[in-house]
Amino acid sequence: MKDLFTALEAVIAGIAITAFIYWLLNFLIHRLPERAKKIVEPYVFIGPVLLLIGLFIVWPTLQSIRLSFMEEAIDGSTTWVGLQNFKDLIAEDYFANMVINNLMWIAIVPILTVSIGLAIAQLANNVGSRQEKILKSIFFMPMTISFVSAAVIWRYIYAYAPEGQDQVGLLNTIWMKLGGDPQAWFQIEALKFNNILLMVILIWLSAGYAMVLLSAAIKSVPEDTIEAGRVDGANTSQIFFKIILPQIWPTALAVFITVLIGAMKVFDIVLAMTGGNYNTTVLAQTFYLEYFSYGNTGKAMAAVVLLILAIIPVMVYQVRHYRKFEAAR
Amino acid sequence: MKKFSIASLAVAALAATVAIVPSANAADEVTIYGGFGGDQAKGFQAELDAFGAANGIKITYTTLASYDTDIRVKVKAGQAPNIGMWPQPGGLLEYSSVLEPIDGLKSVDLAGIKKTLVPGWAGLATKGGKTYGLPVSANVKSLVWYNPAAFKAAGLSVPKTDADMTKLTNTIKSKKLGYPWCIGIESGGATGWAATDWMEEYVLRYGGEAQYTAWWKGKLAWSSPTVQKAAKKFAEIALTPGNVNGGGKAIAATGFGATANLFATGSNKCFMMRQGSFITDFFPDAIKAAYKANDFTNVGVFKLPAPAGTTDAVLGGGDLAAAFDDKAATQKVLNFILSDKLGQGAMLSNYPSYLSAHKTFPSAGYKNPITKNIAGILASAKLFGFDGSDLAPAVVNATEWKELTNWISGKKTQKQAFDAIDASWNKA
Amino acid sequence: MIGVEKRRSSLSSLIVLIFLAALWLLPTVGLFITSLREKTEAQRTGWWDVIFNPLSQDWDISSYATVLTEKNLGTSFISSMAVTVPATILPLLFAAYAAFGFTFLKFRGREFFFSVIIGLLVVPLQGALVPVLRMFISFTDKTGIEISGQYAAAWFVHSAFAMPLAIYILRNYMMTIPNSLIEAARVDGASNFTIFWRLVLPISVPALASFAIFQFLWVWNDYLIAFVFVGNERPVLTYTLLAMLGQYGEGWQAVAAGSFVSLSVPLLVFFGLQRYFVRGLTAGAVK
Repeated sequence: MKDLFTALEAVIAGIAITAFIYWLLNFLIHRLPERAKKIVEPYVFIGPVLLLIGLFIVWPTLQSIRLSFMEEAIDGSTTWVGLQNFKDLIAEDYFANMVINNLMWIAIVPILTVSIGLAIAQLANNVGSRQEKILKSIFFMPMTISFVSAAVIWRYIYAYAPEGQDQVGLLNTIWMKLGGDPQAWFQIEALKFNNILLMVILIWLSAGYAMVLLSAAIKSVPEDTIEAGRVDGANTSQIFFKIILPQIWPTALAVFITVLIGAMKVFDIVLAMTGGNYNTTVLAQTFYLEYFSYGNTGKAMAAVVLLILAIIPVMVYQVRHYRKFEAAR
Repeated sequence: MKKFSIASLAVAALAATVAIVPSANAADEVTIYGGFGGDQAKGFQAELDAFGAANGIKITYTTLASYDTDIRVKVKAGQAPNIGMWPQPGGLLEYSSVLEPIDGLKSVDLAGIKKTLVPGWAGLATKGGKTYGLPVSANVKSLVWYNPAAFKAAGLSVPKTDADMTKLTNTIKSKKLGYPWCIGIESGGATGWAATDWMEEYVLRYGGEAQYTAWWKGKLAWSSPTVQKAAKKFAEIALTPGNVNGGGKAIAATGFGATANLFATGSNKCFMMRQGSFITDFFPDAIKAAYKANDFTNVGVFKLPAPAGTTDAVLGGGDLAAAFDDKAATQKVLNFILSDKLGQGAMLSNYPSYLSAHKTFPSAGYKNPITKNIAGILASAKLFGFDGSDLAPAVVNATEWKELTNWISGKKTQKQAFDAIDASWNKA
Repeated sequence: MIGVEKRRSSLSSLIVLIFLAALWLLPTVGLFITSLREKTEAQRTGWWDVIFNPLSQDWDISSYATVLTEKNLGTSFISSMAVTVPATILPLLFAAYAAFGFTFLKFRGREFFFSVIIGLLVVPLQGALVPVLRMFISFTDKTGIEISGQYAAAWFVHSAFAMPLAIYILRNYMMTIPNSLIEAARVDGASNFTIFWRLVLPISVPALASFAIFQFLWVWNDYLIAFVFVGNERPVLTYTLLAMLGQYGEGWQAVAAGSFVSLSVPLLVFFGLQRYFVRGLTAGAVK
């Protein structure tokens, strides 16, 4: 019971302090002369966040970048090794394959996740609100399942047992009903089929994420713009593509990019399902293994730096898009 | 804005007081992190409580959900526990620069502990002549599990020698009774570890102690004759068509803990499963219940026989404990958990499969005859080999898992796979 | 005319959705059935067999009993709540302010700061844990104020790590708010704080609610940050469940059962917040 009160006290205090910080900043800024206020005010809005991000993300990230040129011992002492970590990483026999895998993940997962999420969000918008709630919860459910359990259940789906033995794998059961022989799915490397099986898991997990955000966006499309389209005689698909989609485009893009980044960073699915065997390794899994299992901080951070470099085109595109959208608004 | 009244100031002040709490972990408190889970953790904590109460020390054991990850973060950040217990001791020596050598801990009776340990256990985690870690628990791997009921029905008898075992394998195949062996090495991110055990079994027997040690230390290559001989023996058992249902592809895809076919009745059943003492936890519930009630109709075990002319050795593993500091309470607790006293309290009633690494551990404590039998195998071992891959650097261990899986599943030739393992020593 | 077409599209939508939902539900149902089955059966036959003849099955609820009677579970539940609730509300508040600044205010370095924030999305946070923890410890050494080991430490870290995504999503949402609305309010003499609280925040409720759900979920299912920053004295639910898995993973059925106990909370949050995804908030404001 004491725990409960400590927790409760901490919860209330924490929220109160934060609210107080913003209240204080607002209070102070209103005491400033008009011109100074104009310059300072934006930083009141973003300042606390910049501080938070600076301390907890930017600074550690700079450390990571620095460490990618270092070798770190367990007691924290470092030695400068130049580009050796990058060279080591690139020299790994799996490197080329890993890059191809990563490219496949970012080419396939975001587009399918967003399409499916969008389809669900739009279709759910058409049905009664009771059905909508239930159906959306079903699509959302995978997100609430802890990762360990998700891994367990997908292993049951992809499981393989040799011919003549009872099959516990759903996919093999279906496959055999169709007349096939049981397959060890994760060992099928042709056309990167095993990688695609892993991607299905991430799509299953994140469609609910895309659906929730896109549904919120669709709901916020002003009714009168849709009404106007109907009056002009547009059919359902025209309304969706010509009226709804352009208005939710920024959200769709945001979902796309966040799923893309999620796909870039994927490691737990690979680690739990194949352990990177059968040419399914990805960059973030290498980070994880090198950092936590092998204790090669430098090499792990080199993988992180590669990820950061890979994100730059996305950043540039995103900022350009904002400029355009801003100008058009 | 009105809702943020002056009252919030008072709350903020309150919060500041909440945040200032005296630093925990005083002189008479000891924290232990380890990989024991479930019933084993319960039994361990119970023994720690009893010891702590008698000595005025508050001992807290915490199960790390993912030991490698969690201990690394804590140690790097300077928040190490007082004592850590490594499930794979190969990682332990990586931390030697922040660990206390046990030789320097005056209240730990190192000589006494070493004397009662099963030979081979004392030198597992030594570096520069100093001992950093010693075992707190043991498991035996050189065990072949079988179903006595199935053996009886088929008129088979337990093999005493390696030649007998080969003959038995052929009998099962020629009489079409089922499959001689149940082998699975799948284990998610650690797929392949069960295959390293097989290699270790035979390198230990063919090579004896000196070669075995040289091998796991990276000084004897996988391309050497001894290791090649061991691989041939393993391949003969695992990869000969008809020995394991589905062959190498199925071995790579089958979970290491899939025991159902050992107890099946149809023509798909398999007859023998080489696996560590912990496998009893993976038995089907009904079998497990019978086993716990000392009903051995369906559970039997024999020691994996050594090929003719080789050393009759036992392979096993265990958790090793090490100290991060030398304060008096830490030393006292370490001395207790390293001794043969650990396990004599509430451990076995919570977790009947617990094995002590001490030959002096009173075998009367083992209520289950099979556990007692296994303890006997361990205590009487002429040569004990600790799981070599668990002792190797983590990167080599992981490469062994991966490459043996590649070999068994047919993705690589034996040579390609073994060469890759040899090459991984450059990364360690 | 319109009414007929709408009804027809609603029916076909429903059919497609039900089909998709069945597909999506399949793995979860499988997990649920498996968590109720006896281990041997689960190893021998597929869980879908149970659907066809449920009576032939030995149902086994012992894994749920194990999970619920585990003595630390109550404490873990409180810890989880104490970590999750503030770690959901705080970043929401911070991010909404910042997103407002990035969307409606003009200042130097706006695009620079923003692209840095997007870039930070890609950084694997596991790598940041050690530097942050060291920072807390050196802060404690200098000031005597203990941060690490308190719930507040986990809030800070969770809030910070959530910031890039939260700002990104909220800014994208706020971009769709017509500029005319904001201009109109400015003409009426409203300050930016008033515009934020009275206009933008209410309009952004659907996006805020969506993000709140995700953040709640992520924090609820996280164990690493809670373990590293709050410590082992007060383990969160996920950590307790994971620890049940034990050394050799023999206890995964307890974990399956545990995850159903655990997922009930975020699912309730989802149900609770779903009503904020209502149509017409912007529409009403425009008129």
